[in-house]
Amino acid sequence: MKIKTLLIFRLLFILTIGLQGCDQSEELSFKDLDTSPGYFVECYLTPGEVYKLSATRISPLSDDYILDYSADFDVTIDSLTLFHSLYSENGSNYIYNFGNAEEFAPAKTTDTVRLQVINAENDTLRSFTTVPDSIQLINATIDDDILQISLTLSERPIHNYYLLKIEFFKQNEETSSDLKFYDLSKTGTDQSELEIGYNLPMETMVKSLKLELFRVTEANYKYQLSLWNAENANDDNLVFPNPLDGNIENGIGIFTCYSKKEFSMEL
Amino acid sequence: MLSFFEKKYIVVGFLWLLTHLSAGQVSGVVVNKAQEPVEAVQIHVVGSERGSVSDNSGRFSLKAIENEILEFSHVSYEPVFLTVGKQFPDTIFLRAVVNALEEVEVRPFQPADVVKISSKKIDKLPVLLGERDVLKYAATLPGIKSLSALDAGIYVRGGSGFDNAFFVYDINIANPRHVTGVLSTYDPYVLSYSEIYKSGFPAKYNGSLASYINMQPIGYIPEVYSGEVSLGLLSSSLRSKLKMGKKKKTVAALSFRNSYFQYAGKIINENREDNKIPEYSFKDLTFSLTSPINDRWDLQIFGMATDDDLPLIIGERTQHNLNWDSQSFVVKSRKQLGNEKELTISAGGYQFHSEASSRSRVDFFSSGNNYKYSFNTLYQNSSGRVFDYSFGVSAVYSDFKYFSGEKDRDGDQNLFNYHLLNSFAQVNYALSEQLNLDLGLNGGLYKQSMTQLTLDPRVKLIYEGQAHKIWLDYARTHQYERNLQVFTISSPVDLQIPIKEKAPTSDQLSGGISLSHERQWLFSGALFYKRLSHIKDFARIDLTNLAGDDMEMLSGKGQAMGTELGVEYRFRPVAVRANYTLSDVEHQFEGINDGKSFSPPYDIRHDIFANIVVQINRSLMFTASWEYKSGVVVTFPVGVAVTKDLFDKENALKMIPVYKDRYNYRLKPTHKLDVTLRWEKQLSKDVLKMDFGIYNVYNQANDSFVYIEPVRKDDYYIRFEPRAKVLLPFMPFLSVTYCFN
Repeated sequence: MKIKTLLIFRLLFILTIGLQGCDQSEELSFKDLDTSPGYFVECYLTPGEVYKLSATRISPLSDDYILDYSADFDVTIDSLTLFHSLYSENGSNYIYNFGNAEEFAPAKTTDTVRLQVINAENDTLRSFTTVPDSIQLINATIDDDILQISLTLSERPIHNYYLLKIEFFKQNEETSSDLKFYDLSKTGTDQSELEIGYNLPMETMVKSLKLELFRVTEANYKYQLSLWNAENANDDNLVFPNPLDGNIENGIGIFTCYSKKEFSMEL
Repeated sequence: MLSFFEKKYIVVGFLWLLTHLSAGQVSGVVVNKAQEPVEAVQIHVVGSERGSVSDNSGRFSLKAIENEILEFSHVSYEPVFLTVGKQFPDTIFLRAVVNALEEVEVRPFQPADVVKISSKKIDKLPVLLGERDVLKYAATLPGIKSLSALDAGIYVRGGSGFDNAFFVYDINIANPRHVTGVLSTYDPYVLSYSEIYKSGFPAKYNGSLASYINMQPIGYIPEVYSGEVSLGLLSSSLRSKLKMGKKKKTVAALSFRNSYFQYAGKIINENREDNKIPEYSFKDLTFSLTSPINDRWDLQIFGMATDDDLPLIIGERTQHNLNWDSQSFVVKSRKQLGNEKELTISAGGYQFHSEASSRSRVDFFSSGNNYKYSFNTLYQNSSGRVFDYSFGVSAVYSDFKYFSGEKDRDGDQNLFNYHLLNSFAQVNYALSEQLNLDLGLNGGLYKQSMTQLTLDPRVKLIYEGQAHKIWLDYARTHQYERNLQVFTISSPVDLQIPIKEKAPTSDQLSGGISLSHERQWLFSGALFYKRLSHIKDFARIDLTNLAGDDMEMLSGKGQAMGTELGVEYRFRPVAVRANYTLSDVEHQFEGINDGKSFSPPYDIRHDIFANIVVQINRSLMFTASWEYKSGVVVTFPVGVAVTKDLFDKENALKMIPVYKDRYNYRLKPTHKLDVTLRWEKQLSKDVLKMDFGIYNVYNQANDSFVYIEPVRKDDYYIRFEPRAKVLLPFMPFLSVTYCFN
């Protein structure tokens, strides 16, 4: 009886006082935190599309973030100058602040494209990228809930990085999507074709798929992976944060080119 | 015709033969009043040359015949004389030498780099939330720290929580990794005696950089049967010890514990939309058995099984489920090969299995499974006089398996294993009555994707005077595993990864002094310096591809140095203990923080601990502990970048926190005071104990972990707030224990 009474007391402690603390949190000071995070540049060149790029000063964490495109830079890609203005794509809320109406056409003689950005303090940010070949799809099949995509590999291992976005269209009009990363750069040089596989979810509701296959550079592959990680860290404080990968000298971001193949499949 | 002298020799020889042939083996355990085993007790058969010395678990064995008298002597204890008979006791209690005026015990000195912990000592700490623990006690000692309320690990002299080896009978066992530093990890009821080596490691130990913790059940109890039922704030337990067999020489101990924290959490969560309390649950079972097989052989068995579940609901879209369990098993047998020699054979192994299942923007699942099997043989010659030696071999096979990807979908399965073979030898040489030299050598063969041969010397010089002790030691060790953190904070589901290239090495030089004053005060001080080479870290951690190139271990270097000061005062009814540790740890990797050196996230610069125990009367005991720790470093983003989502045209704008250097923000110091009042009532043969206490008496907001809270106003306005979670504020608790015999 005595022990029972004590047990009740103990549970009361838990319910009334002890667990209140689980909710406590406090805002920390920004003291001693680096306040010069640097510059961010992002540019995806796509053959046949106009040149567009965004370059911004990274806002220190201690500041309230307001998207600021006012900072001016001298931006050149190879010998082409990009002008400071605001550009957006149809149906997108993303804004570029540098561009040129000329369309990007990869040179036949050299496949390296170079970027130079000079900021107000006369610091120079540099980068270069190669241009991946267009994707040669051989076949795409679905067998036993496994999606198999056969493609011709690039002769250059640094271009054998692929991203596959799959949109699932369900019978009840709902959609969901998934993104997969494939590093095929270590495939033997004697192999010219390869299959990539994807286990479809065991849902009978899916009636069709929309697929977007990207062939990207090694730098872009790592950058996209780090973005995915960073975004998760942003959403969930237990997911490990990582510095963003990229290929911008003296800055953060990516200067790259990719090719893309879109197709649909009925189930 | 035989001469007189020849007859005499024959008679003497016959008597000697008779004595030795008829002599039986007398064995037992020498303990002090606190039931701590007493090492280095000289046991001498009066009137003969025969003798023996108790080992570090207080055990002794020697040949003696009925009616011979055994003398037990030790500098710090009153001598005991016992006649060998049919009812010779298995436990010999020694009484400490006392100062007649002050009734203060004269305790033998212990070098501060080897800490001996008995369950009685653990009893003198505030029983936090009703949980007693070997590691929680260890974390109150100089040079050994715990990090936060969420972390059950210990950090020894600048090492990480995974740089420690946990043994039972010198065989690796699993760390159950119960969540939070307030829960018990190893139950001192069964594992009632432990030794922690911070430096000056014996030659038989290798495989960890920071410390070796050898725990063992004590093979004796005063009564035939005893037990206790305990009701704490977080869990209840049932514990029992039993003497078995005709001669009652077999001792079994069992402890079972089950949590009910999850039920309280469930009730509270029913009325909450968010900020749900983790419905954490665990259970564990620990047992041991000690039994003599015959006069020469004895057998010890230990087993432990644990199971934990921790669901974490972070938000509407994000949920993590963490599950982990472990099983450990050890068998040890020892054979007496004469009065001063013995052979020990031990074998055992453990399994640690963990799973982390996350539902977030992209579902993620990881699981790890680690098996480790060990085998040891040790031959010891310990006369306790001028020259002792020991040697042996040990073999370890460890198997790792981990998976990452989406549960029931494609992912990467990774399989690794390694073999480790060590041989070792150690000599202890008494240069004079006060000066002892220990020399050891541990040679290893590590085989994973490469083969590495190691040779690790150990040297220790100890000068022991009447009221002071000075020691200096050097030890080199290697480590063959590295933990891979799955989450931002060290968690129970961290994966163990074998080292695939040159193994991390620590060269530690350490020295210290202990002084006693008027037999009431004990002062100790120590200095240590560790040079760390080939230490490992990961350039980045990509949970989508744990087997990828980006997960490559980087090799770096580092150092750890520090000072430890301690003072103890004991004058009945008060005992006071305080210590201070200054520590400075630096690591350097070419691929991290642009090659600049940095403090790892477990570097606590200043640490102060103070504990007072007051025996108010026979029924009431008051204990209080206060601790202060410098803040540790964590990783914070430095800015925010706007990036384009290539895969979502409609909502292409992403705001991403930009991280630069790791460990770029030092948290504020933490401190707290815990108190307990224990009331004991003797109920004929049984005892009722009640511990009423308060955790964090003055409700200090100590940060448990940090996170970034994005506060979004619209598409183009977002603020990232760095925040810290405080998990354990002011918390009263009551624990009831009923002990029965």
